[in-house]
Amino acid sequence: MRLLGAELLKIWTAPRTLLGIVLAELAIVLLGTITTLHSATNEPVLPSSLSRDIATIGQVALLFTTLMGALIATTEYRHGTITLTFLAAPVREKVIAAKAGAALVASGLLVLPAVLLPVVIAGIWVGGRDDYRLGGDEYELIARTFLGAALVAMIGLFVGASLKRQLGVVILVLGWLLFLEPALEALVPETQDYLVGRAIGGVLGSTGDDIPSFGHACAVLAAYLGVLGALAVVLTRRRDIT
Amino acid sequence: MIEVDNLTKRFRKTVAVDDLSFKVRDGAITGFLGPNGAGKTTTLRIILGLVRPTAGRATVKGRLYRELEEPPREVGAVLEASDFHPGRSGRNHLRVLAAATGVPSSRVEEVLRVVDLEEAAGRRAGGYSLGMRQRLSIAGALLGDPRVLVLDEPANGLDPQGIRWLRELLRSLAAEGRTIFISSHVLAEVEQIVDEVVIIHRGKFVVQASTAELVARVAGGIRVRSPQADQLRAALDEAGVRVASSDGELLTVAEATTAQVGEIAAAKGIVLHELVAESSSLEEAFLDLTSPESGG
Repeated sequence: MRLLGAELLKIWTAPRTLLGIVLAELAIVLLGTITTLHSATNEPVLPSSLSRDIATIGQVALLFTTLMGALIATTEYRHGTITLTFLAAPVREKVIAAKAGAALVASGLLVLPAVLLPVVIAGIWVGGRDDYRLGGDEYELIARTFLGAALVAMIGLFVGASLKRQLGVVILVLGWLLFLEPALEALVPETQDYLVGRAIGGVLGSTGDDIPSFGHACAVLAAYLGVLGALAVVLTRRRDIT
Repeated sequence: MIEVDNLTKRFRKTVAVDDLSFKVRDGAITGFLGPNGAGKTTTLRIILGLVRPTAGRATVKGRLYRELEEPPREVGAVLEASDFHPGRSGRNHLRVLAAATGVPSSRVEEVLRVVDLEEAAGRRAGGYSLGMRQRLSIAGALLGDPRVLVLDEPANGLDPQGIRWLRELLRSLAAEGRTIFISSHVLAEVEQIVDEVVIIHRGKFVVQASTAELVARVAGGIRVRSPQADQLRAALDEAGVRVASSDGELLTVAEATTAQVGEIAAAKGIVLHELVAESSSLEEAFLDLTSPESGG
């Protein structure tokens, strides 16, 4: 528990990165919310999908929680503070576990404003109208956003702990999701049920024929987390800190 | 006790540490000396569990570092002076370390006082001078009030006043019975404070001895000048004293004292114009033992 406290203190006492990420995230969320509401209110009747759109705008936070997870692991290597971290806690898997805990907390902190802001703005903008209402389905989507963000933060952390280099992590994650998976899906369609991108969609409750069920998606992501977590532990344990 | 036992570390084709063995005595200040690239830092990092040895082992109190119950409370370490997040203040850097090691945060202020860094503690460590960073590193090492300190070139970046401050600090810590293992490639930094030294060169053990023993081993001999050099040489040979070299009126005598040489000359009525014991410092001993000609 004390290692988790130390990891959270690291984030809290060098907050520029976190603040930068939060501000970038909020800017995108704000822009998306305003665009969505402006477009919806141009019509005489609000589109039926508006409540769902408002509930899912915050899903953009997943991009930032992935990045945050990676940074929690790689920043220490970049600044050399990993030496002191491993001196304080030489059993390195404990450090990874503490960082995973910190990544979970950070993901929650990143998602909260991203889901609250659209809800609050929509409440002010169209809250009084009969054709706008947030219900159980929307709250479930918001809850799924928290879960999805937690999972991708862990993925970012494990990839970061394995690779050490921030730029390498960003290139790998973006390359994987934007190029490798679509290419793999096109070449071998049978793999689509086991791809990270689609599994995240399943966790978030995305719509579409090819999106796996929530349970299947959770199982796929759990498998990825297991493999990536094991890889992170093995590589971190074997790594010489020179 | 720190014990290094047949330690070897290879980085691909480079052998950084080569079958190294030595012991660091409890309660003493031991210097760990060698030229740059000798393998000191690698050895220290293996002792601290940061680098995995290719062969052999290094233990503290008979255990691997990672097997110690409370490592930072038993061993304090100063490694590189740049191991800080530049955006974190010195105080917060120590607070993070204190949180990780389970040390109460009140201890942070205590160690800041010890290293005389209270005024700058609120500033971002990225703006610190190298000397201030070294002080902060030392503060971090002292957080857990450990009985063993492992210091890798702690005087790097310190000005002469800082070096004096470091010496006094280490002396006071040693006086409390702590074991201090301090590496350096600048002998003048540690010569005045170490009880004994371990010298390595190209990853290999060269010698472990007290500083006095070491200086004696490579003492420079006696320089004696006489207008009767040939007679003096003969007298010394007769007395069983070896003349290491001669150059006109100048002789260099090994393994003898000035008193012995003076008495031999006086007994034969030989005039001496100069009789000097060549002094040797730890620096000279170090250079002698790690010179390419030494094969060390």
